[in-house]
Amino acid sequence: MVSNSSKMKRPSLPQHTAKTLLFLAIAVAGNSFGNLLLALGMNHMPDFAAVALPRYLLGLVENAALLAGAALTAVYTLAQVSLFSWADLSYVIPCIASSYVLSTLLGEFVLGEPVRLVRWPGVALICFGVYLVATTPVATKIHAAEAQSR
Amino acid sequence: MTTWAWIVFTVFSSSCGDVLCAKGMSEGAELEEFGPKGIGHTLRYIVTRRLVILGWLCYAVSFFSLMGLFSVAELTVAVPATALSFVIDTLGAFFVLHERIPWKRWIGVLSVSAGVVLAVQQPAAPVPVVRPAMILHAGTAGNPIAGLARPSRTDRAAVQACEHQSAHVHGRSQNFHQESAPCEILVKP
Repeated sequence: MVSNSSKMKRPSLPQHTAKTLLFLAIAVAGNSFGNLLLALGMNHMPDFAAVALPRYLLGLVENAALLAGAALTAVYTLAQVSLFSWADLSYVIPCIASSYVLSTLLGEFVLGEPVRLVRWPGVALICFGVYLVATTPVATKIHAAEAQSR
Repeated sequence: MTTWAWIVFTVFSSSCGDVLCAKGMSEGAELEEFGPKGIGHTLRYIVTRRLVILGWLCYAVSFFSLMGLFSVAELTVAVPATALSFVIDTLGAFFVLHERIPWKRWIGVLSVSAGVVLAVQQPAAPVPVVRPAMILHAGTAGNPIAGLARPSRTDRAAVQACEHQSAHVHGRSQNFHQESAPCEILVKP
């Protein structure tokens, strides 16, 4: 990741696409399942305003589901930050919107939360938007490291 | 805090983190080696770049804010609501990071945002629980139970009216509490 490393160069287009897809998949899965575990853990937490802050924080660190959710969220964040090193922010963030669709499905089928009918067109619109963004170039500007190498 | 206050706080802290991290990470070379050495380089880079560290602090704020949001909202509401940050992120990418954003990407972001507006629709407010109360006058002074056990003709008519009203409420509301007794009967001696 360091800028002067000889091992780091811009890969060819197929590798670039495969790497982007891989990191996007890791980020989407980590975000969705992380949120699922966080929601499961928070179901066993008291209302934020109902208890003292130290007791609330203690409850957070003693909750196994919350800890697992936090770990998956860390994986998601690492994958996303890595994507920023070669892809546009305006490309990465909307593509990771797929995790909102996956989270809705997990909420419906795993947590048993009722999802109103009007929400499904919203999910379809998110999918359409992700598809449009995914068909644009991964990067539209010359990154600093590439500019230095020219 | 209300649900929307949690949402706004989560979205803005998340967007600040995204823009700061993207700015910091785009100044270095991209990751090519996927082994432990490459991941080590990535981690070393992340913990030494000031902008990335600031971005992570924003992520931390956003993370705890998201947990606060989960404590007041369902997953199917809380998670899609945070997608509002896509619009702010895209504006940040355009004005701060100077990315060239194709029209398809703009439409995509707007489509995602419209999807979010639909996806975060709150369920209809539940109909308040109605427990029709009525007052029966006991037929025998000092024995209120007697008024229930052997109600007068007037009392029976009142009970029937109460049950009819309760059944009507049952028919209209899906959120009505399933009470074992349709009426709450108060007995006055």
